[in-house]
Amino acid sequence: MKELPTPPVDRPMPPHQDFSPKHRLWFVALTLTLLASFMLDIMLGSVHIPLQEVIQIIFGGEASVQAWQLIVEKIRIPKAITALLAGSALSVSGLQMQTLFRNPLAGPSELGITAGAGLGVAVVMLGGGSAGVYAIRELGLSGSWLVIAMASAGSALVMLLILAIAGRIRDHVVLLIVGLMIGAITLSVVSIWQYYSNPEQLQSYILWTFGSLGGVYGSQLYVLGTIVIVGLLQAFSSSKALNILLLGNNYARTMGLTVGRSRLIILSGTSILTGSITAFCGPIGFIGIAVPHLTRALLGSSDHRILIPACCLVASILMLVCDILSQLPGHAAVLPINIVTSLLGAPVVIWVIVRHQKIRSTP
Amino acid sequence: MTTPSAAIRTERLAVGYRQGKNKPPVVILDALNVQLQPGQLTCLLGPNGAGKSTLMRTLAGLQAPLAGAVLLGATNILDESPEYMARKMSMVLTDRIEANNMTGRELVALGRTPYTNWLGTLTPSDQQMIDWALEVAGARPLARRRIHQLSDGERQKILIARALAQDTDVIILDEPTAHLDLPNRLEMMQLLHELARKTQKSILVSTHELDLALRMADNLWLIGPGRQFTEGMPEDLILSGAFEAAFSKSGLCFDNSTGNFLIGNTAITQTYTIAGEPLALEWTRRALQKQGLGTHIVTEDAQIEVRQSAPGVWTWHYVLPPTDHPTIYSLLNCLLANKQQ
Repeated sequence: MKELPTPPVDRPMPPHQDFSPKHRLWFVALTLTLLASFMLDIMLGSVHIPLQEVIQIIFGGEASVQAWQLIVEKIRIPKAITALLAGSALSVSGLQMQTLFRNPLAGPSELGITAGAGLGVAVVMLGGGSAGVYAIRELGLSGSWLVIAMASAGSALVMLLILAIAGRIRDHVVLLIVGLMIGAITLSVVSIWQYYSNPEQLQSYILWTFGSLGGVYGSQLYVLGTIVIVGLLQAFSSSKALNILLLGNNYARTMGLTVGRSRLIILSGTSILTGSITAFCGPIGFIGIAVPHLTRALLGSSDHRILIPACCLVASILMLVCDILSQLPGHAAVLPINIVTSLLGAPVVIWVIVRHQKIRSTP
Repeated sequence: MTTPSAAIRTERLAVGYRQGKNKPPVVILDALNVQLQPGQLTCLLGPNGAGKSTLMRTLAGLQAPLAGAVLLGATNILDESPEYMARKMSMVLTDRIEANNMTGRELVALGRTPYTNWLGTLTPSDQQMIDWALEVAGARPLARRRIHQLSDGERQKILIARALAQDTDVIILDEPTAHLDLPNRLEMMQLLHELARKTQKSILVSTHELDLALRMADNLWLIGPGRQFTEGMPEDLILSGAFEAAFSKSGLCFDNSTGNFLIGNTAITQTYTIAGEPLALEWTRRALQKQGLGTHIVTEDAQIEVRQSAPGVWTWHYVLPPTDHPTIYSLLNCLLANKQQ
């Protein structure tokens, strides 16, 4: 039997860092890619604007063509920023949900959380009576807050329901199915409601369901930005709790975490992030479930202090790329963003299911 | 019975679970007055479903007792904050861990949670503690590996290292030897025994390894049939017959002299006198035992006599009818054939 070493007193500190050089390199690479895709997103579209003009406009200069100035300032920059906010919010929501439910298949759209947000939006849009075409966008500042509040409440409602059911289900895929069912129920409720709504309300709601990054301007962008940043900061400050929750509730409790309280905080943060983005951009699928997996695979980490900022970067890049693709360069037509994210995201989900099947079957 | 130095103790503790609002709670164990002493390895033994996990969960404060209290010093553990309790007691649970990218070291580092700041930043002293825990648990080579790639035994070592990194006076382990092969089980129990001795921690382990527990434990908690709770030193419990009583139900018969269980499912129908080399005698005895044949060792005039003619070459001589057998198998066939007549 080997001798047990004595507890440490003055042994030299080992070279060990939480934030390794490899991670540092990834962050630099991702930030550069993000800058590049941000520029590209602003340059490309129905009208092509040269890079130096874009740079000039961003840094307060005058563009050589008046229209370009308007396009960049009023349309493309807000849209690109919305893409950053939407990507970050949805991916961090998904990451938190995957940890909270201990389920690799958890995500805002997969578990019906965006459907819940949709219900909240429907309450405002269809129930508001007076609200007309593009209802949300016409709403004033207080209206924006109302939509966000209702969408977040809708998300939280579904999330609580899923959380209650998740306790009884061990199989990941089964929970996914339950989530899809709850999403279906929520959407049917909305559909029944639509049946009794007038055509104008209906049209604006259906347009909303396609998802769009364009259309968040001015004060609304500030509102959305503020909420998303608060939500992201809350998520980052929960990273210690999230790291412990990776080991499950029982371990978390024996390590001093008040599990109920932490879950509630994480749950409300996630609802607000998902709810606010869904309210303004419509349901955007697959970013929330796919990006956390891509990020984990890229960085090889499970530490939320690294994963949360990294998810923001990866998701922002992905959203910008999706936005570029949705504009079909050279064409005036624009695909709904939801279609593009699904095309890119759904294969990732299949990959995750296949991979987890493998992990489970190996002893 | 209560010693002031006990790390934790219980006072008239009743454990069990509540079924619902209108049904009475199910009491599994009642009126327990036990304690965990520093520097001692205590093994909790009992059949499946006896309430071992429930008792451990209650001791750790994961579950509220039905009556009585678990005391840390003079205070009820439920009155202490979770943060404080996390510095006093750590656990190794049977829960599956599904954190794919986590390395062994990262998992052990989570044990420092009760001591780190809001972001979980590790200080140099935390790092030293993690190194120490990895080394003590024999998990140093596993530090850089991903936990989902570890074998059951390796994962168990990492989990023990995590509990050690939590730097608590009490460590509670729920079946740490389950799913391990025999050498790993031995190593695990030996490690826990050494740990208790050298670090003066109180360690409570639930296990199914009766003979390992008998050999390694300083103290045994037995949950027997009818949820009869007995505690004491293993040796005392054997001599008092409590150990045998606790496991009599399972159809095994306990050999008080060796501390082993015999497969006593066949009653002894006939006994033979036997003489010869001690080693050969022991294995002959075991072979006969399996067939429900008893043996009685004598020095002369034995019915069965074992002789060694060359190393590894034995002869079993049987008297009635006088026959020589080159193997136990042959002897046994002869005995059984004669018995049936």
